[in-house]
Amino acid sequence: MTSRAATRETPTRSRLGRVVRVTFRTPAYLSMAIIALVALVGPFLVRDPLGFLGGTLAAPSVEFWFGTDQFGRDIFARVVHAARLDLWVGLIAAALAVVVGMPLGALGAYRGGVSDALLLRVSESFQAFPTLLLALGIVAALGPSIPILIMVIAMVNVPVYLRLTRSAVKPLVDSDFVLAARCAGKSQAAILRRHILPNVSEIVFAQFSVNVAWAIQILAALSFVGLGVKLPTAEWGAMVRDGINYMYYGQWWISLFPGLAILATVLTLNYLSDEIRHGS
Amino acid sequence: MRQGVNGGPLLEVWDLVKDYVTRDAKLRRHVARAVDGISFDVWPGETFAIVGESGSGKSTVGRVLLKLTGATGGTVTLLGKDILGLSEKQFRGSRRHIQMVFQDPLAAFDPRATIRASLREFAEFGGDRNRSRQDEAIDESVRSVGLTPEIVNRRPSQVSGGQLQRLSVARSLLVAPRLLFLDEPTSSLDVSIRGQIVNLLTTLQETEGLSYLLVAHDLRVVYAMAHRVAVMYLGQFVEVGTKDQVYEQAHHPYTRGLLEAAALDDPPRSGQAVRLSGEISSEQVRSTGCRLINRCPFSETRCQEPQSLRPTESGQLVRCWKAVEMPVSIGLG
Amino acid sequence: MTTPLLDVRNLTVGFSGTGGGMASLPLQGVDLEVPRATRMSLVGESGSGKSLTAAAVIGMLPKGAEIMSGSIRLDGEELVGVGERRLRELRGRRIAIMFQNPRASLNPVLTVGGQIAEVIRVHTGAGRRESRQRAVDLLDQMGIPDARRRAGDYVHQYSGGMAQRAALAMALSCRPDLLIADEPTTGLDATLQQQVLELVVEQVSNQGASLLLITHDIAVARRTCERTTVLYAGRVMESGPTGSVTGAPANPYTDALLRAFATVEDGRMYAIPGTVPTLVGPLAECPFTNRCPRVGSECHDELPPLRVVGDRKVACVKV
Repeated sequence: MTSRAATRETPTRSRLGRVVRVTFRTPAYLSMAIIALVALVGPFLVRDPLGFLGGTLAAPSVEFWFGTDQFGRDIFARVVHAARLDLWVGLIAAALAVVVGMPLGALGAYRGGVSDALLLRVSESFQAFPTLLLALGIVAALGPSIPILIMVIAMVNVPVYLRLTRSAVKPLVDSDFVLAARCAGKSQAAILRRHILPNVSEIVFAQFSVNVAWAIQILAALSFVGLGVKLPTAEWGAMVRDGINYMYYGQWWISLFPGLAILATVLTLNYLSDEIRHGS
Repeated sequence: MRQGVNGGPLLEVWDLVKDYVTRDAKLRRHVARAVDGISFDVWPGETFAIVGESGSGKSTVGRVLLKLTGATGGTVTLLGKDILGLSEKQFRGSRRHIQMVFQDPLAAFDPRATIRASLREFAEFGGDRNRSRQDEAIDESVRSVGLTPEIVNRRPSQVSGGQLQRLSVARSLLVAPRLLFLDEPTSSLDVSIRGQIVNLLTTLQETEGLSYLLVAHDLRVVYAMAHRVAVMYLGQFVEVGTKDQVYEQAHHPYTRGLLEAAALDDPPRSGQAVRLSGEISSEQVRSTGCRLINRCPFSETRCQEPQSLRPTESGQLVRCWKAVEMPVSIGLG
Repeated sequence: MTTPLLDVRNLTVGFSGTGGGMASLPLQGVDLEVPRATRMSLVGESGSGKSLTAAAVIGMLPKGAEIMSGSIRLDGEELVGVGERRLRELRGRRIAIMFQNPRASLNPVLTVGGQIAEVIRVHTGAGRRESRQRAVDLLDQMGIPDARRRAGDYVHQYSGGMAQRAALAMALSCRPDLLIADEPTTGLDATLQQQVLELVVEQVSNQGASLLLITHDIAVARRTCERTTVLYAGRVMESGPTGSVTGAPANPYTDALLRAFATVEDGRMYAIPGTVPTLVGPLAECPFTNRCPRVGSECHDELPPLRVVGDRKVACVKV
């Protein structure tokens, strides 16, 4: 009964109307929309994030909402610019991880046997290392640059998607509707594409949201220890690191605002994941 | 009525064996024999039914015939062609002759796709890439199962179970098969709907000359549809005969126990009722003697010897020495 | 006549929809009487409301469902509107439940014998050793071979038939006045169904308890119960002694249901055309009109009340 009600479309409402309704229904979607908007158009509206604007270490005021740092740069402008960078890196890294991990996991589950066991063992050995240490090690070896950071963050996330997809696909492989497609003479590739992947996409997208958050955390953490983006690029983790020494002297705003930005983004993405999984 | 090859059977199954091999955490092999040397044939326009309780292996038989799972041994000949050795590609030509109707129609349709999309996959199988001709074929087959074509624009969850099972039949008809494997086609449906599906299938058989391999535990449905019946217990046939032989002159204690438990009103039965004790246990597959020995009220020492299918006086095959040699001792005749 | 053990009158249950209104009314004025020491079956197709009736009696309606009107009396005590605490008390002492899935009524992390002994101990105040022994005896009575050893097993170690026997032992351990069994044998094979049903009948009669058997299978009702109530689309269509209801059905729906079970001719079974209606608003006419072979213009006039006709009650204007 409930599933019937859930799938019935109301023809009078447009697709755009639906998007708007969903966006405003829950704080998670609304908050995500705000963050995305800030990252997209924010950088055009704020001051130069690299410009030295005079007064160093100025406390938050009407002129400089988040204050200025030790070089006299506008922290608000830097937080907004960093939003674009952090979200991009997070999105691209998580997307790469999906693109690689999801088909591999589906393939393993579908084929079973040796290839499945092999994929599983390899991803397990990856997951045996703490993610952050693994990322640290690779970046230290290859040297930090944004493409390398993206690659590394994507790589440490591939096993997550591989195993997630594998466990979601496994029960579908023997399901009756897949057997029916086999009776229709469909090839394995066609069955994967048309029947299996669409039915696991919801689970994968819920995880995707979490992983973007996770990627942002890894990036921030790498930058915090000095292995992330190069100075003076505005990045939240690097900014927290910049300001950490000034905390002792009472200049709390340098670290606090980028820190809050990380917190807000990560929480939003996690709530969003819950929404995707339980709502819709 | 269409003919099989040279007026012979459409499908011949000889000594079919299917093992399921699993490995436990220590990678030890465990072999479970689901089908243990069964033989039968299906003739054009005929319904051959396999009845039995869950765990008897009856559904596995059909899945092997459709090559949805591999066989361990035996031969299967479909329209004169041995199919077990074929690769998926080689089997493609034969696949269109044999199709399947599933037990739970809701599980048999992709929940995210419209019914039309699910049906189109079968329309494509004919090789016609023209979408409007595919749509015509879809509409026609939906009408042939007594529904209006508009219904295919919905999703599976938006139609009733009975309608969806009709659509499942319509879907398999799109490839113009000769044989349909009906895997418990009515057991997920309400009693008042069950008859609708049975009658549809019977009518289709009369008009199209289809053959059915029916697997079911509902003895009323089997009585309505089958021409010949095999009773299966733990991977083996224990009684095979015409519908009347099996329903009215059942010899094997297991068949009689099933009929007694089903409490049918219509078919008259000879002989006293048999009450089976205990329940089906896969442990018994390993025994060399009769597999019903621990549940049968008539069992004795000789039942521990291997039993073969032997003809009775009334003509059916029975895997029980007592039923063949001394029917009176088990309350027959 | 003395008061019946269970007396359900004019029970109406609705599911609330989004926006405060009622999304559906699956039960619309159900009347049901279960006398003492009597086996009553409640027969209906899916969507008839049979399981919902049982759920209302034990105060375990699914989320979103609520009793709109009517009364449910157990031994004269009104259960509608009574607190959860009292209901729980009654469920532990006077009403017991068996579900289709026996594993639903047994705790998977406790041994089967242990949890039955616990119920006996709480219920009778017997000591640990004694209640343990009585649990083993009870399992033995239910036909579980080697009961002393099996009492120490967990329910997942039991086969389907054995688990349903254990669930029956659990249900009877508090010596209830009323056992409600909701499709207790539907998941079992035919030969086991028969064994379990016979056991239920035997044990319920031995204890002098009443049985309310919920089933879709009128043949099961016929072999098991003295009285039968036929439910369709949230309404009682016919209720009376099983022999007369199934032997000479008065309501066309009962007749059609029986024929759907029995009649086979020429490779065809009797089928009731159409499907069970979904009950969105209150019924204004007999719910079977769109499928009934004997429908007449007078059937559309009103919702036929349940009237006493001879030895039974029937809701049909044609009778």
